[in-house]
Amino acid sequence: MASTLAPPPAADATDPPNRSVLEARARREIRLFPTPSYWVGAAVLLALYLVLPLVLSDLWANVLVLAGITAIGGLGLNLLTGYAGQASLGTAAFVGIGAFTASYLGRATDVNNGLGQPFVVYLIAAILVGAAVGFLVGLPALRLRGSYLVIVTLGFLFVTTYVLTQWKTVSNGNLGAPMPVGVQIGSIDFTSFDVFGMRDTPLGRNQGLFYLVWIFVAITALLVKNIVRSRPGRALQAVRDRDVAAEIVGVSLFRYKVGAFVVSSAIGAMAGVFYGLYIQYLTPNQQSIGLTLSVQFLAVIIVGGIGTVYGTVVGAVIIGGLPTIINEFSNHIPYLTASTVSAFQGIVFALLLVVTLLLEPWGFAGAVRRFKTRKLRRTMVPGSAGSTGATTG
Amino acid sequence: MVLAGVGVVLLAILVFLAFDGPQKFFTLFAAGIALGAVYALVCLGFVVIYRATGIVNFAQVGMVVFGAFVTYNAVYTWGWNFWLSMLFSAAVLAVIGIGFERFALRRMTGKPIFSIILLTIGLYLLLQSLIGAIWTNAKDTIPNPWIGKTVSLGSVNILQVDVVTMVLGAAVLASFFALFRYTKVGLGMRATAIDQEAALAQGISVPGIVALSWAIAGAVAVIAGTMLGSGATPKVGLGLGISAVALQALPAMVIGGLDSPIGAVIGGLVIGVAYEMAVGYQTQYIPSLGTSGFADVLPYLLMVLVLLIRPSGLFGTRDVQRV
Amino acid sequence: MNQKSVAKLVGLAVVAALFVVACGGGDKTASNAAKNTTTTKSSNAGKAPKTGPGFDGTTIKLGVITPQSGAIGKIVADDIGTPMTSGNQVYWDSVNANGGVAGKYKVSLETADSQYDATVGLQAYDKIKNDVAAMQQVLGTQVLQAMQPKLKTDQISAGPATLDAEWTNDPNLFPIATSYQLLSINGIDYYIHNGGSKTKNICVLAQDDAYGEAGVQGANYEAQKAGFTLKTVQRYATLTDKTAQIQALKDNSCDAVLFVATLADTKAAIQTAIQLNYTARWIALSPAWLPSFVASSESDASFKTYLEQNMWVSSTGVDWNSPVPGYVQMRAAIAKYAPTQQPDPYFAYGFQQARAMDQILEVAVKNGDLSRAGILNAINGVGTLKFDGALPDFFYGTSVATRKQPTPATIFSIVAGVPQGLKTLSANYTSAAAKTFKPAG
Repeated sequence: MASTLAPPPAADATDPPNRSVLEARARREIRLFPTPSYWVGAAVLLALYLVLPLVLSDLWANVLVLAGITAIGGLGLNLLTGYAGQASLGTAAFVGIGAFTASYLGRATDVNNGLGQPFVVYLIAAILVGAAVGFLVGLPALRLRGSYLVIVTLGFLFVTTYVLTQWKTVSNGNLGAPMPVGVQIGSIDFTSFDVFGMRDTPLGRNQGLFYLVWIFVAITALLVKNIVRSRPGRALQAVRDRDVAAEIVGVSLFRYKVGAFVVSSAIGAMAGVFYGLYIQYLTPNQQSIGLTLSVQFLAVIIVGGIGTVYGTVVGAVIIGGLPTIINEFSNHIPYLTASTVSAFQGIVFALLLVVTLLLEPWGFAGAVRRFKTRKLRRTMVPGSAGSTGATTG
Repeated sequence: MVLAGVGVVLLAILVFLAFDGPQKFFTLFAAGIALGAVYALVCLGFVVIYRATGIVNFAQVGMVVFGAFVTYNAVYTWGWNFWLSMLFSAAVLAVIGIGFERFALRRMTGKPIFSIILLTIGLYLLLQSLIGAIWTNAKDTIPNPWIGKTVSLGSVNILQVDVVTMVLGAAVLASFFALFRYTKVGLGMRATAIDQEAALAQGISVPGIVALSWAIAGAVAVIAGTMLGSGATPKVGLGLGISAVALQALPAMVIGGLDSPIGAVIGGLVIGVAYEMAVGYQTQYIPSLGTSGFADVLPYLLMVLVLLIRPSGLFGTRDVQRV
Repeated sequence: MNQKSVAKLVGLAVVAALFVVACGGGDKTASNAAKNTTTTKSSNAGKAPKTGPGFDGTTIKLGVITPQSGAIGKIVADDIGTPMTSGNQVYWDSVNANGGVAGKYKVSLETADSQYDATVGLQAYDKIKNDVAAMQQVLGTQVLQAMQPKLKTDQISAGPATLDAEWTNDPNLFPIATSYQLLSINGIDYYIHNGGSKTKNICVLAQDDAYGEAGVQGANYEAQKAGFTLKTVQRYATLTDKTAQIQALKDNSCDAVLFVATLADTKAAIQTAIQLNYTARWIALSPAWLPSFVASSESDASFKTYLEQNMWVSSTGVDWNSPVPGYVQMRAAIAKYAPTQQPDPYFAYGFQQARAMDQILEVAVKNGDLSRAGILNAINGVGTLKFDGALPDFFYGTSVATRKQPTPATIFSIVAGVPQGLKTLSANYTSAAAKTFKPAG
């Protein structure tokens, strides 16, 4: 979290001193913390981060851990889909790849021939494996677009579950494999979290994972934010909007399209590691790591706001929390019985996705921006429209 | 050239397998054709929408399984005649299709293709979830006239319900052909498929054509879903297993060419036969590929192969890349 | 607000947060406090038993993790999960009517949907684990397998609604019936001694997953002990076409087929066999069977006839109208609490499972400890789980090491019109191999 508190990078220092108003505004827009209110926001988030696990029940800690994991994967997917414009149904495949890499390397040596490596090792390994596979998937993406890319990435998802199932050393086949049990960094064990022995009893696994996962949400968010607000980010958007034109002005399609796949897949695999730790046991089949999971990630970026970082995180909390909220209140909803709750959850999820796409294509972030713009219009010079572009967030 | 080479190799494999054990081979082949007929019907629905709008319509998957349940409701709950029920279901799904187009897809004009595809996925999930809420305790098969009956073709027995599926598949393909070839509306549909703006300029009602395409897709979905729900191969019966089968048809569509009806049928049959052959022979000849599951990914591998050689599919229109 | 004051604010927030870390909050500490106030361990039945999650001193709450939706889950739910859970419920209704466990503590069930999938099942587990004292039912081999580490950490006992042999080795689980492995062993052995022989071609058609593997394991053991080899083992992925597999059985001239399937695939497999003119002696394990396969509303006559002529079911339990006290009690409870319930083997299983839980809870009350740990301990105090003839008694002893899996299976033939569609061919059949089989550790 320390990096959140660092002052904004001094990328502007080398610029010529004479800057136009326009330039200044552009500069402000790409800053990490453009206004002081962002600092307050960061402080509030930090406080929430520290306090929430202490007051949350197991169930809600569980929900927020899953939301954090979804946010990580969603951030990666947003880079690929929101910024680089490459549609993919393959996110779940990378989650599976990350999870099983972690499982194989991290589970104890007496459990299905695991290798018993510590957290840091299997996390880094999973990220590297994810990046490598992402590179391979990115290559055909150079030639495919639109519908084709969607179907091919779906095919990749099926092939991944098949390969994982057959690769019994790693996945233990149809039976599935347990994930590593403990999560230790140095002397901190996140599965029974305690700071300097200050508590009588350590926090539970879900609460500990909350601390771990949300650090990585912050790191991933900063990483993605830094990519998109710098030259690569603008190149990605150029590729998305006019790929041939982008190439003409010197943007390497190979570098940025494939690069987007590599980074996004690495992040997806990282989300997979945490997914594995969260779920503790994973079967390599379509039900566990299949189309439904991929669509869930897509829903996160759509509902939160495609092409925005904070929107993705908000979307993850909404999508992650929704089923549990419905479930908790199911007793108060008429006509809802035990056997129709999950159908109802499905309907709400699908409706949320459809309605967002129809009414607020830029999702939560778009609604916020519109609200701000309207306020701005009312208070500022009449008629001056605010920026409605959805690409800078 | 390369494509012909691949075709020859695949054919040679088939001939080899046929001599290896004719009874087994032809049984599997028949099952493959039956399975292919189902894939073909699903794909024809995909193709109609692709031609009209240029997107792969995942809502088709939902319409297939929803259509099966509507037919079931008419046959079983209301006790209607099978064909009448199917007709009724086709009408319902045609209306749903038009509704999807009118109230959802039309509003997405000009949006990124990706958002539109995602919308169709949302509609697919919506239909599928509705089934869980509406039909909480359905039977495992739609009652139909061919239950448990087979016909013999030499030494091979084929389910009657599969024969009906094949006939219906052929009929749909033929009516597509007739529609596109001999009717004015069909001409408009072809024009729209080639260039929407030009079609508009010629006074063709493109919105009308798109709506009609959705209606047709809904009706075709009902045929596919009803036959699957009636126990056609792969005999998943009435349930959400139908949507899994419908999803497997996607690679067939790419292999055939996204916009070609005949391509959809050929692609479906290729995938169907390849699937059965893989289940039948893979464990015997290439046991290292596992005890099951290879057959499920083979269609996608074939798809990638075709894409590498001929990105527009076997019968698809070659894209002119616009800059 | 300037940056300095922001930094101050952040600093303040951190300090405040650390303070909360140090001083507690969150439910772990709360439960710890609860632990401290009730540690007076007493073994006399007069005092109120120790409370814990899922037991507030008056009501014992038990969890049920069963599929209610999903592509396969829906089928499993309608045909297995729902009757089984209602078996649980009817049993507890009858106990609650008499005051409850030990005449005092009423029992209620909380259900969560696993969709018949390990990952979803774990979420279902997390959802209800804080509300329950134990799991009355966990359905699905994969689901339960994934849950084992959590059960251990949380000290929750669970009743497997799946019959894998290895459950016997887990101190948190209380299996009640003959395992899949033993059902396979006995089923094949019965065939060898009743109409078949070792020299016939004996084959296996199994689902390609953990459950299928359990069946294959049993078949291999019986083959090895009885001295024959399996002609072929065919596997299929659930809800896919089985033409190739049935054709392979036919090509191998299999005289008998051990059928390790769930009822989601039974119909498709048998219809394919009929289509391919293939007849054999099918020996199905209990999960492949569904009474409605031969119900009068079943529209496929050839399917019904084929089952009646060619299929046996290797299962547990007895004929529905059997005079054994365990079934008399069950039929009485149904008449009172679920008069519309049709004769159903899964209902019967659920009823007996609740009965096992009841015996464990009685011991826990006697020990004065209805906390999770107390219930877990009580499993080792029941000695023998008794079912009054509904199932063979299951000797538990003092630890997992002393548990002795019941070995007998009941071999049924299929007869339309009798309750459950099942008619006993041989009750409590135990093969020589069954007596020596040990589940893999």
